Amino acid sequence: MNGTPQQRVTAGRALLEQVWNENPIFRQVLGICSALAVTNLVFNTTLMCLGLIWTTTMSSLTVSLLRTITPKRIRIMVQILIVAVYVIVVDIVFRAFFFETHSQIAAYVGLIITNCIVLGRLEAFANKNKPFPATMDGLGAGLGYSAILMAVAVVREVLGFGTLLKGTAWAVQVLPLSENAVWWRQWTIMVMPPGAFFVLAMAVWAAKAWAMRRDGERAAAATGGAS
Amino acid sequence: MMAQAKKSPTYVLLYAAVVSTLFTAGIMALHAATRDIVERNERLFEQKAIVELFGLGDVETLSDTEIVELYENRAYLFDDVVDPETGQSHKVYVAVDEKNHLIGYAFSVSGTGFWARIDGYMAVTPDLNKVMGITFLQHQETPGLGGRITERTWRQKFVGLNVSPNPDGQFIYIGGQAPQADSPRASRHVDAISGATGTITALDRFLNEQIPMFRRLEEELLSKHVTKIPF
Repeated sequence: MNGTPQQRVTAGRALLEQVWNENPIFRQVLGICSALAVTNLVFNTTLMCLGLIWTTTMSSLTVSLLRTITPKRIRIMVQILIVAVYVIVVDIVFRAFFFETHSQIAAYVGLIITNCIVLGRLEAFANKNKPFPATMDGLGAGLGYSAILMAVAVVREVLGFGTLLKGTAWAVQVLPLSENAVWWRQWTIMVMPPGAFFVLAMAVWAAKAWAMRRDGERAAAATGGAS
Repeated sequence: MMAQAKKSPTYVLLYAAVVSTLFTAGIMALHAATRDIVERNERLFEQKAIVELFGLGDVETLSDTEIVELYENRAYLFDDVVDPETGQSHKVYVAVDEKNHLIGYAFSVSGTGFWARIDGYMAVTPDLNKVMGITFLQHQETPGLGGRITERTWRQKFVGLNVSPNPDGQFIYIGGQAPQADSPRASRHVDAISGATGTITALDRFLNEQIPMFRRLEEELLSKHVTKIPF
């Protein structure tokens, strides 16, 4: 903010930066692709987010641990290999324990490998920082991504299906089915990928507006104090 | 010294080889460790679908072991029934009741959906004229739209459908305007899923294409295979 060269980042700082100030979706607008595809059911989104948190955290840790012995020339290859390994682990675990959900989200789980957030954090942070801050940075990026995705998923599932946690034992009907109510029609668009564009865009808008107002107030307070 | 060594091609190659081997080994170990669970899941998924398809029991309330037991006692799989017309082999399930009387056949049906291939089974009565049920085991249709073909409430609409040969060549009609009650089409019509036009058109096309195959496969089945079943 104040233009000084980058300082050593503490672990807690790295985590918070990723969750909020540098939120991958709001501030960096990364990883939007999977945000569009899997967010129409809260349960599917939860699994997807857990997969991403695991991948960003573990690959940041591994890349950081190997950073002093990895030749610079092949570092991207090594990073992709590491990410791919953790994603395959996610795929195998989901296949074994969440068989039916896995069949719906398998394609997107595989795509975590190419998720810009993961490689972005590895190149920008894990590559040049110690393991603990790197792990926290990866965890923060995963949590920051998940917070937004979960919010989008709740809106989409409630408006699109009228339910919450559909497909699980805890499913609740929040809004009635179109067949049973005269005052409510399900928003089919929320079920389809374009629905995510609208919800996500509005969420980014709201968050940016809020952050800008806050920054403006701080700036005003700073100048006010100086005079 | 270290920086120098890291640049040598030998180090780079060796490093790449060691890292790849280690990580791949880890994945293989995990894969091997979960293989049994995954295979059991896949088998159970299909067995559950078959039990539901023939109405052998209520899969919602039965435990996994009860489902497997029902499947093993009442359903028989023939996985290489050859269609004499195309030379392709198909999977066919035969189901019996408690007294070992034949209750129906389930023929594998598949085709290209709106996004990708759809695989499933259609069960029909022994005279091949009435649908007992339909199920889809694999598809990539849009969740909430075409993906709803897997929902029980929609699949239930196929139960009792007339699939006997039809003078106008089409066996069933999925979607389109609902026919009058006295129309010959009334017993062959299923309501579409609103908004899932692509999936419905695809289903209508490949199911109608494959229903005539049932008769050819049944003939093959009766002449060669079903002697294994204690009717």
